[in-house]
Amino acid sequence: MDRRKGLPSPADKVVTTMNIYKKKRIIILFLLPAVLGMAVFVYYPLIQSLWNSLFEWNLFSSDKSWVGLENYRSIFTDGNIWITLRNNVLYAVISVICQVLIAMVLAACLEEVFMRKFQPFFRTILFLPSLISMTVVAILWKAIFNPNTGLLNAFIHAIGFTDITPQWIGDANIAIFCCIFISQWQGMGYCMLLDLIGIQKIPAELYEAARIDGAGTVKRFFYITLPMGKESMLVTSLIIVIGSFKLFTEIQVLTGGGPGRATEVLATAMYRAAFTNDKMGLGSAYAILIFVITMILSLIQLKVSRSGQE
Amino acid sequence: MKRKILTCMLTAALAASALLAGCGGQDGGDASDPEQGGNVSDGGEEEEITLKLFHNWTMDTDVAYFEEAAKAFHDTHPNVTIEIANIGDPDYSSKLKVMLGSDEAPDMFFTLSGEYLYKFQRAGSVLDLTKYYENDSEWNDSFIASAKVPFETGGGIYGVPFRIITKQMVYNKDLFEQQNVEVPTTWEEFMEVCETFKNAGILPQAFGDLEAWAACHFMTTFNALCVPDEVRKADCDYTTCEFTDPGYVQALYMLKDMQDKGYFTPNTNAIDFDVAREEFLIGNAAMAYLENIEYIDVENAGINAGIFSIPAPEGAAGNDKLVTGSPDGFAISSSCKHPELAVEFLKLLTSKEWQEKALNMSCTSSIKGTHNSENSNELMLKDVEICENATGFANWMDADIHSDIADVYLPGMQEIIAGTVTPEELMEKVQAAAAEVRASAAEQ
Repeated sequence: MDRRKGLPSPADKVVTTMNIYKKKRIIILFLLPAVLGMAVFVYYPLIQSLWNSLFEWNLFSSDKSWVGLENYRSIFTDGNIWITLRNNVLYAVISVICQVLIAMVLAACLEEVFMRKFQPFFRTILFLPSLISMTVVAILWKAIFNPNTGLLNAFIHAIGFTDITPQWIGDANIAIFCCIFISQWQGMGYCMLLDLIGIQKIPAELYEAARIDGAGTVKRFFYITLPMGKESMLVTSLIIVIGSFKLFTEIQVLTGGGPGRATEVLATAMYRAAFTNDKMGLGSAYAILIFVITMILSLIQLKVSRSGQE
Repeated sequence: MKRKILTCMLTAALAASALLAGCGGQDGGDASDPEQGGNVSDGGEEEEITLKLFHNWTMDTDVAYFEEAAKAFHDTHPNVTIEIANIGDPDYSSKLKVMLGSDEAPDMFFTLSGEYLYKFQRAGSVLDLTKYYENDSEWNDSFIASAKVPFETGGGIYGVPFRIITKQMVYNKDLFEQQNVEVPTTWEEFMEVCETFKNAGILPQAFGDLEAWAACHFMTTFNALCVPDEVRKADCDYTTCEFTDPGYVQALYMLKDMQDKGYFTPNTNAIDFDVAREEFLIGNAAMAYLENIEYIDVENAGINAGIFSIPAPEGAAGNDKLVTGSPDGFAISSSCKHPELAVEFLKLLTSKEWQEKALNMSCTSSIKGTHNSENSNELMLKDVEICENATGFANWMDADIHSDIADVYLPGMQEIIAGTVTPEELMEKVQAAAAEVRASAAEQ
């Protein structure tokens, strides 16, 4: 009937839809907005930053003088770069330990039968900090770290250590750990929640079978939870390590890179070069350095994780 | 293979987002500013003109002051509209630099004096106002004598002083009376006063240095007291800076002494300046080194306070007739199409009437005869007296020396306070930075 009337049958419709995917022009049309967006907002600034890093220039003057790789040389001959890189690496390592490993352990604990009753309570408590803006978190902890009036030293004194008064963010040796700590305080709950969802997706039969075979809590964690959650942990650690090299807010608000340059990281060094010291070329060179480091790390992690499918 | 290329591209995109965080290129400014100029010439009618003003006051009352001034100017110049944009510190400086390099440059903008302004002059971003001062001698003479000096560079005057920010030691008169101590007139007496308070269990000075600029204000004063004027001026000039005078080391030792003897708020490097200041405002500290814009807070806190200038150590080679601080004000950008109207507006802001209104913003006027016992408190009047008797200003060090040198000097002061670096070691680093700045200036 349909054919006689010249109307397409349902089978024809499928064929027509399939044909759309075969037409190159249609494919290009659909891809164009995304490709254009990437080109304008990602690749163009990237290339421009690379080009800019080869000049000495500032924002308020049109003069640009070619200096070649001089900006890169000055980054690596400045004694502070190694402290800066050490701080970024410290942040990455501690963040992976806390937000990938410890968060997974926490999630597994909350998923245990005896904790199920309290799970919503702990989930909320641990997740709440990640809803607060990092600037607010940093200001809050600045008050807590205040060695004279802050809660932390008051607590230390209250439990009997009256002769210990750490300077926290005022002490060059401790300050970076304070900055790293507040990030973990904020980020762990979020990662734990992601892990919790991951664990809940693991088929219950696996745990049941393990239990029948006599596996205890610890064994179930190592032989089921960890292998099954490996993929999501790799993705989380990828995001965390890349984020570690873009670290800015915590440091800028809490210590401004001080005391001295003890808590400087790549992004604060970039900001200082570009906007405080009016060296946009040097700032661009720092940006390229951050890009190269994060790019290499991303490639390594994708290679190691084999897939990156999830 | 295609898959690999795609993976690489996606990875690059992910990593490249790092770049978006900081360097936004030349058009990184806020796009909210309306279009430039607005010169619509309509037949025989008067041309409609828009002048853009950019400042860094954010308090409601202060913002209203500028809006009212713009309205008053519009009443007398109906064809001129002043469009105001503002943003608070520390973002102000960053945004200003972005704007000056773009098509969105403001016609008039707030500026500090000294090197902060000089670098705009070197870049050709600001207008020389010398002829406007010369053509209006009444306006020219209305300023406090020393106020225009820090706006002068390269043989021209590049700004209009709006207010004077100074720093003086503010003391709690009640605590001084209670401990039976007098206002010190020599450095040695000053140290004795601090010691008396310390022994009495009263914090001598409320001071926190979590942000490096705080100690920099002390060093501005100490350098002025210990280093001969001409040497300090040469060191502030990026083509001749050396920082080899022994006065610089002496000045750092003055800071270190006060820290080592326990005259500052404990754990100095870990405390915000503002948080430390509260100790003074609640009457727990005998003194605090404060700017005149903070006198209003002292008054509101109900502290019976007085001010004095930090006295010089015996035999110091510097100048004790300088006031620590500087005038700040407004500059006109070189791209301004109607500089004569911009100057007119700045004349309005620096008229006695509008300067008196600005006293609510708690600042010392740059115009002679603005303050009197009816419109200013005792601290402010004393500050004006000190300014009028001064031979000049010791401009804020971080605004006055080259930014590459400040980049080493300022965090170094935190290290002096922490005791991890000696004054001699820090000055060696400063000298090395100065040598690089000099060499780079010679190349240009």
